[in-house]
Amino acid sequence: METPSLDYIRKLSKGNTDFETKILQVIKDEFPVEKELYYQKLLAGDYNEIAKIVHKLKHKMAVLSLEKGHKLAIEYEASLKLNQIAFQDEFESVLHKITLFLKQIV
Amino acid sequence: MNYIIIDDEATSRTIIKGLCDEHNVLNFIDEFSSPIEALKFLNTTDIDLIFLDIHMPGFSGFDFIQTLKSSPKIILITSDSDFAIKAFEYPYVLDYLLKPIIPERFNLTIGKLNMYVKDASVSKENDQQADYLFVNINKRLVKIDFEDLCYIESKGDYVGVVTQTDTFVVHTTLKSLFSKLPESTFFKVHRSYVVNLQKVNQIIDNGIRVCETNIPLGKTYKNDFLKKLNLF
Repeated sequence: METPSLDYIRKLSKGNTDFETKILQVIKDEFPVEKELYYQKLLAGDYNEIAKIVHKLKHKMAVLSLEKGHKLAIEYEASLKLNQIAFQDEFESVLHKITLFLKQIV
Repeated sequence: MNYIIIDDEATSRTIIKGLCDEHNVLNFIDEFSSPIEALKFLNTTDIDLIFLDIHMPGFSGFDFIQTLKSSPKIILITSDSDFAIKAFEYPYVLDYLLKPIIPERFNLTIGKLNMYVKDASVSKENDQQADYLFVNINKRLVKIDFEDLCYIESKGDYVGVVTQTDTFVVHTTLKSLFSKLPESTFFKVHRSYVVNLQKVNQIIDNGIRVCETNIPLGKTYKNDFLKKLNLF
């Protein structure tokens, strides 16, 4: 099972730990807000608005080296743009993994 | 090169800035989550390069490009490959990067940027050697000798080019056209006017007379303008 990791961030930082810390802090600040917004839009049932927030969340999946999660988010976003809602459970499962991961790291 | 980042996602802005910090040629000026705020900033500040997200709420990257009055180079950054062809329809767009940005690919973009800077530098040297320019008027290229040019005047999205015998209207900005003129002879005397110093006949308080036409002399330009003249 795929789990979040810091591989991509470390590739970006090339050992610059200040840069790593900064990216992680921004993700820790930004992700919960976007996740909350995602569930709000989901409740409202506006697929176009859900697609927009999925679009932003999928980048964070890629940054946390969740390649499969990123591909899943692409498909989820595409389905939402067609007014369908495929892969919702799988997508939300990835969101949950990220939530747990961000809680673990300092 | 002075650059700004426009992206509604803070994570993306942080990554772009971090990648840019490795390149001495790039000088960070500011970052914006809103393209509207960036446009306000650009009204008062000259920028060489913009890293621009395409997907932003309410006002897309393409809307932003169409609104630009100046012509900084733009590097588009997006999660979608669908817009690549459209992106290069805009002459300002230098490159198109996909998120998540691969550092090696980013370095190629900066290599491309360095080549552009060198080309622009050579082009500017060539321009300085010329004593004329060609302007595009109704799909015709018209040659204008600098010695015949009286002044140029900003008219919104157009510039009036006034010579001793003709007036042409060109679809460009005053800033862009001014950059093609030799600094030794042409001077900005008002936010909407650049004059040929060789054609100045009289200076009267807050106005000057150029080729029998009265041109306003802006307060902020007056001192520098007077210093340029051979006053007795």
